[in-house]
Amino acid sequence: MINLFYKISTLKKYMTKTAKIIIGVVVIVLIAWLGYFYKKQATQMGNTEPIKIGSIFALTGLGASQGEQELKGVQLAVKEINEAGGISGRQIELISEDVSLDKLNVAGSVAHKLVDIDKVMAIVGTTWDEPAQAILPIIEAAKVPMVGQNQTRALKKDNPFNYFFSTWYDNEVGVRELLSYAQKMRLKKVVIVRPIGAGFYQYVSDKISSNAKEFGVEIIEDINLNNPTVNDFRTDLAKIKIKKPDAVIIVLNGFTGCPFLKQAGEIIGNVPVLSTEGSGDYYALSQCSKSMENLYFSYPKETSEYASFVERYDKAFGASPSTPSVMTAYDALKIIAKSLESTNGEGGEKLQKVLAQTKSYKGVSLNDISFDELGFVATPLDAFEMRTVKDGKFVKIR
Amino acid sequence: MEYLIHLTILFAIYGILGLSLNLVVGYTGLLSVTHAAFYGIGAYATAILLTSFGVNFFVSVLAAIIVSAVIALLIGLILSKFDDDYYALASFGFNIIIFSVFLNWQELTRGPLGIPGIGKPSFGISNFQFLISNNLEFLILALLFLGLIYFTSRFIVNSSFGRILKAIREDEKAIQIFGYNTLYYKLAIFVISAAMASVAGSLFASYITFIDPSSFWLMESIFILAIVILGGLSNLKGSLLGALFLILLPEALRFVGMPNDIAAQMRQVIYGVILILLMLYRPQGLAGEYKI
Amino acid sequence: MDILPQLILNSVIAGAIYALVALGFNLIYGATKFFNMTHGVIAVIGAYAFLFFGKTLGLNLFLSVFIGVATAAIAGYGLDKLIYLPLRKRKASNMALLIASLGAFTALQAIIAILFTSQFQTLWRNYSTQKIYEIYGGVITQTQLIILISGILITAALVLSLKYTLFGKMVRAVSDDEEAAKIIGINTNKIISRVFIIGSAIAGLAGILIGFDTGIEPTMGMSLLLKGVIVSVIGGVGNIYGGFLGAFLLGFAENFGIWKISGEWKDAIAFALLIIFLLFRPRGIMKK
Repeated sequence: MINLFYKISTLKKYMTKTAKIIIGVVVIVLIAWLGYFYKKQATQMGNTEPIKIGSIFALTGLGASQGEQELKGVQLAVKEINEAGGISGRQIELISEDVSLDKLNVAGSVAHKLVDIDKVMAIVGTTWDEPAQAILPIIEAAKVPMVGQNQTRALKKDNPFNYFFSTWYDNEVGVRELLSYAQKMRLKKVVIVRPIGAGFYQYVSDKISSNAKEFGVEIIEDINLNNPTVNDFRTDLAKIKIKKPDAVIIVLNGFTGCPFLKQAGEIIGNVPVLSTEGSGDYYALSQCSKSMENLYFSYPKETSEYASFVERYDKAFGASPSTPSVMTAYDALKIIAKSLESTNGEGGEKLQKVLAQTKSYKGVSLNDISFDELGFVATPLDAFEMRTVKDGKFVKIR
Repeated sequence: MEYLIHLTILFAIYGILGLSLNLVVGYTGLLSVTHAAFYGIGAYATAILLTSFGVNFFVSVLAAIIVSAVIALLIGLILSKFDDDYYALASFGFNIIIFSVFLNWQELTRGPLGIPGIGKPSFGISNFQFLISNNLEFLILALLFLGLIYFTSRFIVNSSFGRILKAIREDEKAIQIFGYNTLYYKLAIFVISAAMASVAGSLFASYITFIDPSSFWLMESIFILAIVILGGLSNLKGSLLGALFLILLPEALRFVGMPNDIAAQMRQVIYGVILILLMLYRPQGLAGEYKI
Repeated sequence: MDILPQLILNSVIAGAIYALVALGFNLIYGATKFFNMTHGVIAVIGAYAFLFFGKTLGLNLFLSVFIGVATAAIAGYGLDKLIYLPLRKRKASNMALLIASLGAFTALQAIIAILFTSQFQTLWRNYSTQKIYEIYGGVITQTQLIILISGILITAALVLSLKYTLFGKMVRAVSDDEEAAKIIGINTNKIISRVFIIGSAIAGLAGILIGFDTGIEPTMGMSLLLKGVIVSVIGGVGNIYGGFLGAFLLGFAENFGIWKISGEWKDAIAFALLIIFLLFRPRGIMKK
């Protein structure tokens, strides 16, 4: 009894005024906002309330350079729809959240917040596979459809989830386009360099290895890089040099592209570097175009909508869309909006059914977006083309 | 409310991590920055056993504890040769080595692709089967584990074993003179702490149903260390407070309205500033008693 | 073995970069004795300051470098005055300083991302027109040579000034024992403040040079910091000359490791070597 009394009085002593204030403020903020949202749910009736759509991209930390751009694609779509009157007369309210590989443990919290508190109708996201994989059970249980803008086929195989769709291309098609170029240019002996760190690189690199033989490409050396933030490739390039390959294949993106290409230029000279669509990054082009002249990459063909999209994007953001997932993110939101039109703003199972039946949607990323039974985009075998860089511009290789 | 249940489960998991690390850092004075490694070993052990071998969750927890304990024994032995800064550095070296194993031993862990589809806990005695089928039930399980570990920690800390740990923290040489084999004590608490962390990992794996190496990198160890320091070194309730605070803070910030373009970055700024302010005004932590 | 010259050059280049980052970290750590998590992001601040003045505004190269270094120095000074000094005055533990620096690191990195976006950027206006030198079949660029020379010069300057100037002696006194230094009348806070300025300036320079060599983006501070910490400990914490040697040791270990064993285990190897090394030489490579 005396112990208890003693404990309370010492506890009071510990908690100085400032500590109490800080803790108090945080708790109050949390309660206040939760209360605010509860109230908002309670009074939300009637059709002039905004339609909420969530987005989850990597906005800080690992992958932020990509997620930042993907968010822009979605923002443009939202702006255009709202300016045209919204969905069934209701404006879209975009709730944007941040999940990146270096803080993967908030993926669940973010998903729960969007579906339980904000009560979004649908979500666009995530940047790369991992956060999506962690979120799938949550959206499935809450019956909130999510459309991914750059998820690989590795995602659903283990767990068929019905509420997840993706507008991202089948990477294998791009890989095969790349390899058929190698075949055409008689690049027989090739070294593959595997960046490591996100499942995406692993998946695409595996596709390259498994498809290579069919195109007469022999992988003479398989080099694994070591961590996602590495940008010193020199010794790996020195190893490549002594093998004297016809070409180097590596899955690059806007972040690793410039350092690798610059160092490749220094160490292995004119050996061509082959890569996939992530390397055709407009932002990287503005930073190191000269080094990119040795780069040959497969990229989705321009659709009929593309030119006008670029104009609108440029008007909104003063730049070209840097990477293909900007376009797929834009299409993802537009498809969600279109489906919401047909369900008259209703979400859940009804929305899922309409989304699943998306066929022949004219997108910016593909001329014909149709979801297959797993919810992925059916990618035509000739959807990609080869490009390189000349005089600071991307040019198609004939 | 699913969101709150989710946050409470995370609190339970990070509470376990904070408690276990506090035993080593706060009570014994060993600056270990490798806790995420044991968290990860627990998670991967459970993930692999559940997905590839269909082992029962609780059995996998035990298996994970054994694996963690063995590895902790080895690491603890090597670490015991160091003191102070070198201890910290060597410990995070181990964290990175173990992370490398998660990332590169692909036959076992599938590397960066991670392990999806991890099942939920279940147990059965003959005809009676109980499967944890929703988050509320999982929460109860997690809280049970948290309670178990909290009371175990309290027991350790209040026992004579705990007193020796504190003595080691204050002045190791002095207590050696009294004939105590300090190596044994330091190893023992390191292994116990690792075993607890692995339980947290098992819970994490089963709850999220998907794990990949990026959750167990150095920053996670630093985050757990932050929980311990923020809560107050050598104060068990403090570690729980610290876990609560560091989980709720980013969530609370999500509700503060900001223009979409910079919202995420601004939240990071505010988060960082709050950490600074907290340290400035309460350097001993929210419930700390130990002020050097 | 035509790969050997390139390997050696790569090791030297990597070592030079690590040395520059570690120099500042080592200096500050010696005086303050806590793991300053902001050191990496201060290098990044220097680089971005250069980006703004040198590339975006197009000012003169040397002026921009100076501004970049100065900005980093001011940032370090500011952090000390606003955060670390008050904490030291409150007799806060090194753990509290660590967490405060973690908070500062998070906030600063996010501010850079707001101001400059998260995109990868280069510091050159024309990326590829750098001079390349060939040495026995190995390649090294002009920038890399500058990094190497700066590393050597700065280390020499630091070692000499620490040994022979009054300021240097005071810094060493504070590094050895802050309390004792106070007793004999040294204004330790002022010395530490100057150490922050110098250490941060070096970090800023390192950031700018690395930016020239590869490029910059807001999250690069963390990996720079890690390398700086490792090298400082290898060389013996607070020991400038040791840190310099340790940097090259790490550079060689990493690159030869990649050559002989697959690149994916590079980090693990580096750390395993580190731990083994520390087992035999717990005070670092220089006997104190």
